[in-house]
Amino acid sequence: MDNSTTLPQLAVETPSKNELFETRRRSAWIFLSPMIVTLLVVAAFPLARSIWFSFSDASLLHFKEAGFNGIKNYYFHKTIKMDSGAILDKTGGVLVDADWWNAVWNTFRFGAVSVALETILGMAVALMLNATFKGRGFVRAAILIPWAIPTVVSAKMWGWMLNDQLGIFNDILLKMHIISEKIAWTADASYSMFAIVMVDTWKTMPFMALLILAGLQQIPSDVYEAAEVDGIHPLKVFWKITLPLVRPALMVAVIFRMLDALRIFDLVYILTPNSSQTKTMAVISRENMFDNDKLGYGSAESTVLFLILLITVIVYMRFAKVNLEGGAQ
Amino acid sequence: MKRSLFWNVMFYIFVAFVVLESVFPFYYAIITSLKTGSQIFYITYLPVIPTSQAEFAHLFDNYYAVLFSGNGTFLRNIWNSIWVSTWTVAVALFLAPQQLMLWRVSALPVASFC
Repeated sequence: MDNSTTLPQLAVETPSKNELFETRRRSAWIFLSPMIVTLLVVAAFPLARSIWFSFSDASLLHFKEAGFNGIKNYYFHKTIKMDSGAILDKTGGVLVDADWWNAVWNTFRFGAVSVALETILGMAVALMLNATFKGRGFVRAAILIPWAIPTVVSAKMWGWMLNDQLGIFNDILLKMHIISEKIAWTADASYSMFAIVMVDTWKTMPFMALLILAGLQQIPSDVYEAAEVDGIHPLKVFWKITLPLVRPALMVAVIFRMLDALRIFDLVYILTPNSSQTKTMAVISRENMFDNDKLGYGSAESTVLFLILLITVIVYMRFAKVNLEGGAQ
Repeated sequence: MKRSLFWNVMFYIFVAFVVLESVFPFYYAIITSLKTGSQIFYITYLPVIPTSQAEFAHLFDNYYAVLFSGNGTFLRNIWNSIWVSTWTVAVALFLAPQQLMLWRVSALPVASFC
């Protein structure tokens, strides 16, 4: 990524033996030290500890005296000689764990579908909120309700609405003749992912809409006036003016959302806790760490999760040329 | 920009739909919270109107139960939320400018993720 144009504003003087420069440099470090210490304590330390656990045989009761375990949590292959003379091949570890790769697949499936839906719907809602109409303030406030409700609460709310016998969602669809019989949205394996995507889209679309709206409002109105004078078709105005100009803000919104979607935990954990169709990376990692008491194995999974997220971000930044420093330019 | 009547109508239908789908689950949670006993097993789209004085007296039973009876921890939960959010905002306000500085002074792109 090309940073060279937006770089340091703080210490622009060329390094000289200038005493003033040295003083400023020292005071900069003093002012920054609380943040650096905090980052080390709340970000670097837990991450390093988690990575250490992933190379150990730690369990919940014995994590202080956990011993080094090599890469066994990631991959091991051993041959066991049975008494009968038969030789047993055994391989294991996160990297060959079918359940783990199923969770990775679920996470990316969920991430791709929900982020795409949220982006398209968020764009539509942002365009709507950017237009002037009566009651716009009220509509803006109303749209923020899903986003303001904590995920745990909205997951429970939706769990009740999606209930197969007593849920209102089935009732509405039955009355509209969209479905002919009641569906167990969260329990039925073929619908559980749909339910997760729907609730997540419901919850996060307002966030997308707000971020995109902020980008839309930075577009100067004279380009639209010029397009109107020239009599350009509104669809063409959208593709040729709005979309290219809102693109930087849109790209930042998408990467934030994508990172958020790939580490989804609470919604899945509450709505469909035991479905292998919806189990995501974070859910299966927690399950191994705490339910199965395999702290080391679960940590190996969260380390792989971290690496996957890192690679996704780097690939995305390369691909989309996002500039996080400058925002919309 | 001027819109034709047709697109104007479509626009307001879209507005109404978005508002409805945003607000409805919240609305449904509220009307469910006002149900007591076996009323919970009947799907209603409108709030259940109390028909007798006895029913009216039980309208806010769930709220009363959450706030004052049982183990009565909900008031404490509210206080915990206030406590946590106050300190989070205070600490974040103290640290955020420094984080911004770190972004600025760090030439490495990877520092953007800190």
